[in-house]
Amino acid sequence: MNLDDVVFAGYEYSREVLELSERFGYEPSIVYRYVEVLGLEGAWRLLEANETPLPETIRCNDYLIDCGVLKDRLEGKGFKLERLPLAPHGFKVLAQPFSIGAAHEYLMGYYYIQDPGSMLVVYILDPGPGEFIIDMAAAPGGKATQILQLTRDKARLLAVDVSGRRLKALRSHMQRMGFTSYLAVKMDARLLPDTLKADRVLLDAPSSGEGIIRKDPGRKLKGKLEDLRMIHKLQVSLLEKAYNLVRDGGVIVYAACSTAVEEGEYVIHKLLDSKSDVHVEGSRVEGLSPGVIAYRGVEFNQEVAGCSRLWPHIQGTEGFFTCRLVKSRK
Amino acid sequence: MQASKKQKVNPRLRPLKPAELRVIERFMKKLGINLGEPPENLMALETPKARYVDVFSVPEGVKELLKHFQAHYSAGLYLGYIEKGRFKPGLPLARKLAGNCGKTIKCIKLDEEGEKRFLYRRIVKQENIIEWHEGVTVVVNRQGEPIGWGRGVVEGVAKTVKPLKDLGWYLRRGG
Repeated sequence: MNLDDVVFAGYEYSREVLELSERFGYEPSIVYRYVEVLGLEGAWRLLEANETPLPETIRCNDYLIDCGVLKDRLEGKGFKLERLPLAPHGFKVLAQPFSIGAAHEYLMGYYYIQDPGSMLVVYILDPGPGEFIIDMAAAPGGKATQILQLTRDKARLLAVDVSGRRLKALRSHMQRMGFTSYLAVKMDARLLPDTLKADRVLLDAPSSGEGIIRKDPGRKLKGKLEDLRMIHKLQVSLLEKAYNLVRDGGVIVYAACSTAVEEGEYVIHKLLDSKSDVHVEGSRVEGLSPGVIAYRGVEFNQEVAGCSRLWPHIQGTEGFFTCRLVKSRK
Repeated sequence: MQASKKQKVNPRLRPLKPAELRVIERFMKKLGINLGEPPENLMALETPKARYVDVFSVPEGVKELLKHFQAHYSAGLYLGYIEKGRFKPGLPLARKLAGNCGKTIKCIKLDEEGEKRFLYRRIVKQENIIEWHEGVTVVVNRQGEPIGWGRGVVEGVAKTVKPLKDLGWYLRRGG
């Protein structure tokens, strides 16, 4: 039987799902998926957590400034910052006398405004100086600048994005934050030449954005099953491309800003199912939730349990999925 | 015979032409910098229909990647652009050169109020200038952090600084 026919089979909504959807103002298909993964009580807790707006968070650019000095400078201007537990360079902005994006320190490139899940992905990628790294959906540049920050601008980064408008922002952030070791190209990453062979490939895939409802409540009313099916298909084709682009022994990190299993574990399952020389590696970051191994009666490859999730009601962040994969050496 | 379709021209990085290099050398010389050895792999990005070329210094490893692509968007250290035979310096170049302020380059230094005015692209008056230099140069704040490019000008008997390109551009233009 084709697994897609099971995973994307039409939903039959229970009374509880319809009530929760009505109460919290959601498209029922999203709530159905929450209940399927978390059960009724877990879904309720997630829905409640989504009602609290996501606090603004920043990533200090320690390539240009010591993070303690940055904290003191911003606090001297009336901002209140608190360290983020999951991200070594991250701060939660608890109070801002004016927009954190308008401070002189921002213009000087001393930080990037970035959600915790996005920061986490690059720590999981764990890039090193001298490596060749491809960021397949790089714009507007949050993770791309972080890759060069962690490698002290000494990796070779190929930053790819299909959107010229978003690449303009990436270029601006690269310049603002002092990074130079990159080439940005405007293209569909699926058309990249397979001969490139990178040490690491980052795929922060285009997604439904179901994970950022705390930031964008308008997404409560999206997430229809047919849309999800199309997004899933795109994500699978991009991940297959990532597999082709990474060298033997190299690392792929897949990420999606979504809580939907269709955009997370199911995408990884398909790659594991079709390629025998790729495996899930642990995220190496403490405090994350494991991947979901069964969904709508389908048992995924057990390795997907080694993928990681962020949940608004558990980690207090946005909803996020990420998975570190390694391609075996021949 | 006329072509039925116009051929699409992609923006691509190419080595700098000798005339373009001379334009940059002239600018640097005015600043007090003898290029001697030009920055690594100076390259120009020509955008179709644009009347300027962007200039980048591309690291060797990154340069190797260029051959794989028909079009490039951006790469390496952005130095500025050349338009009508003149070099207009960019913000990353100001950051790169700011470490030489007071050594090989005479920079302009502003106090807090001057910094604020400058970042709002307003003319800075004498009372907010800590160090002044006539002509185009790097502008730094009291801590010596680069905040852009300005021109030191005497107006009447007062020294002023006119912003040419300031960090506020990142907010105003966003790219």
